[in-house]
Amino acid sequence: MSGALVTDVTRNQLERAHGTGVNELHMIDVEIARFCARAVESRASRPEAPMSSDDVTAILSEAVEMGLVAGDRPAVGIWDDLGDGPHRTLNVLARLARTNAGIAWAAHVTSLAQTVARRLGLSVPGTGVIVVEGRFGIGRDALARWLSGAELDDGDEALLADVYGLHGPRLVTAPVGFDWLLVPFAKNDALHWARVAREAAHIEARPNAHGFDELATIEVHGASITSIATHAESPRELFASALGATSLAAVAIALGATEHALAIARDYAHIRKQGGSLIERHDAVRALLGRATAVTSSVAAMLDGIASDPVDARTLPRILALRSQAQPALCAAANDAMQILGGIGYMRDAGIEKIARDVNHLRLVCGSPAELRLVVGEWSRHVA
Amino acid sequence: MSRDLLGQALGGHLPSKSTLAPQTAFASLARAVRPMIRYAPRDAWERDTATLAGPLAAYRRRVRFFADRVVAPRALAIDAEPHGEPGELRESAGTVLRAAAREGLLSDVLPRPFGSADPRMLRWPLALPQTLKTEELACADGGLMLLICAHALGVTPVVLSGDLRMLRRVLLPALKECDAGRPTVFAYAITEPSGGSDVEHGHGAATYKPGVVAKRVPGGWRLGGRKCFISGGDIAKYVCVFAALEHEGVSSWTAFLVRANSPGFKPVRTELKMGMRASSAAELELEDVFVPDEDVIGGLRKGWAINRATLNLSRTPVAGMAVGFARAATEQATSFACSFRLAGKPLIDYQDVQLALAQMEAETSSARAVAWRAARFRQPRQGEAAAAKFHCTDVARRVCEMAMDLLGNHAVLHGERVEKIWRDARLTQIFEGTNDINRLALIEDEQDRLLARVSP
Repeated sequence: MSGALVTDVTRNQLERAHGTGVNELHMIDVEIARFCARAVESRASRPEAPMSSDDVTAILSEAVEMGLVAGDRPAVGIWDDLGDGPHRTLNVLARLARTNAGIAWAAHVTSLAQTVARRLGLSVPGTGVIVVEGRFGIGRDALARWLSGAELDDGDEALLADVYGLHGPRLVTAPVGFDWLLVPFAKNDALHWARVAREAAHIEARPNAHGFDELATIEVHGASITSIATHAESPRELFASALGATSLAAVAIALGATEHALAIARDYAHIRKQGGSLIERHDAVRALLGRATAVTSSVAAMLDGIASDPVDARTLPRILALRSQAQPALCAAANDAMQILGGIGYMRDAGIEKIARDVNHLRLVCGSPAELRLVVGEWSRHVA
Repeated sequence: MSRDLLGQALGGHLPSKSTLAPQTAFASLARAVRPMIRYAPRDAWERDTATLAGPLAAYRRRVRFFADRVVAPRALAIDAEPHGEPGELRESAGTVLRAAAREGLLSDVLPRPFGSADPRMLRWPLALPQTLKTEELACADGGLMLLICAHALGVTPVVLSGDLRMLRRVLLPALKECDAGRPTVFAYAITEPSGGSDVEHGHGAATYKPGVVAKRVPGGWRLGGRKCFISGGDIAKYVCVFAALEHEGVSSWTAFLVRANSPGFKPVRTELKMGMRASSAAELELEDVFVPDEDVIGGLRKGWAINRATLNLSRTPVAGMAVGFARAATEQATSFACSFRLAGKPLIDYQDVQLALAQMEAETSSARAVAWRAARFRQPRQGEAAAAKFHCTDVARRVCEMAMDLLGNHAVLHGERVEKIWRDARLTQIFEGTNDINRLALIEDEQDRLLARVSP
């Protein structure tokens, strides 16, 4: 069976599954597992040797063909469901992250870019990448006031204008081969969206970034804007959806990656001996495994509890609150898993240190936990 | 609150000249009580250094000067270099190691004229200056710190052997070479592929089957097996290899001084590490390596005692490393907060940023207090050394994570240094016994006292 036929069959299966509701998630999970085994695992089998950009491009192309990632037509896998609950998307992202968190993040930023661009009515050929954060975080408490509809003062306007300046630098972690960026910018006390063609942007590589070795971290600034979207939809609603989607994606990917780290740790604890017995029988290891498992189970339950609701301005405070708690907890869990491997866990070929870095990386982008606490605290004041 | 017109106050604070500011208010107190109350604002590092006796303070200043001038400028570039072959010391790392040797940082485990330490340092336990040293060097760079300081770990068994002939025959000439700028590095080899924690904890050692074994031959011993994760093991001239005697267990452990040019000794690989990349972690193959009787360190079956005593000496300097990482993270976060502007004002004007920096500074300062206290015991105490190690290294990671959160999306950038500091600091929770092994070491040290309290 040729590769093309496989992907056509898979796409058809996914499309049939989409909307039926019957065993839908299970079926998609099976397809994702096959996709990971076929396209990702062999390329990600040596964590100390990151995938090349060509590998990442090939994997994403296959994911687009398969319908997992949005390309020139809507995906059935990722972010086709902003309005009716992201359960399926989060499931897909977590599943991808169990194999490689970088690929999952790439799938998220490219798919969401297409979905948001469509909602903006933009023509979207090629591979896009969405950047939801500004030059430094997401706008602190001023963002909470804008999103909650509270009155903005001069300080808020100055802060949003600075963070989301049209020409201000943006740090982006994304697959190398993108064609355009979708970035929010502040104008008239609101956040709007601009599409920036890659060739029109001034891009500076920032090598050796903390995580996501298979992706590029770049600084984009002084860009010429290809198109500025004007849309009927409320800027507040669209931005809330994009921020909520990215926040949920960061948690889901960190969850999948941490589950992967835990699986490695459990396997290791099952074969490694210390003091004459397997280390899985030592309280120290049981406690580390237990603490990490408690975190992944709790975060999965929290995601489950929110994943049936639309990703919009009403659910965003809950999403950000969840993320402010989940992201540091997942980092701690990934580190607990790493600790179980002792010295081996510190070595790049064991794979678990990369997961710890990837999960850290996710904690820091699009609002650090410290900033999220400010946003959530301010928002709760207005909602209350 | 924004800065005042004269720019003399941080957001949320009054200018120091305000009558409500403590120092200004204190000036109004009676002259007789002012000395009890007033103090001159002083940099935290200077404040801590001032609490040290003269020779220690001078030593701390000297190491910091070296770290700032020689180590820190090379840190990021060395971290980003491609992985080298075993035994290959990159040019920039070699430059630092030679400079450290000339500076006396490879020979200061002994006082002059044997080593380079100020003889007055003998008034304090060896762990104290080593703890000061690891903090200063780690603050500049973790990998180069380990490249320089792992040598002291390798030297310690020879010192603890009490064998003056070995000291004269091997150690003193090696330290002289170091002083002349020709690093003659020692390494410490206990970890084996099948035994990490087992070789650092008595309960585990009781059932552990050693992987490196020494067989008796005329005139000496032949060693066979593998050691792994040996810091600097591939560039060392001498490696203290701990091996069991043939047909015996860990209780027969003996420390052997293996010369790197011995036939059968081979560094087979160096690990690709998450951090501390300027220092190698080598896997060493020993294939019938001959060690003459005169190179047995401290006598047969004395290896376990030497190992545990060495760890008691070395764990407090690891706590010092952790303090260095916490300080480095705090300093980077402070620099960022003072230089990065958001909405027209420096980040440090924001209250949440001030709260985070204050917490980081307090955590670092408390960790230093723990490390220095442990280092001041004349006989290094297992419980104190282990507690300092696990407490300070946990603090270091926490402070690094706070620094990363403060820098937000900028923290992922290599050039901002905090992500590298986190990667470097992460190793200190693992090596010299994982932190849980160190927690058990504390309990082991208190065992008799605890047993006395156990109900019959």
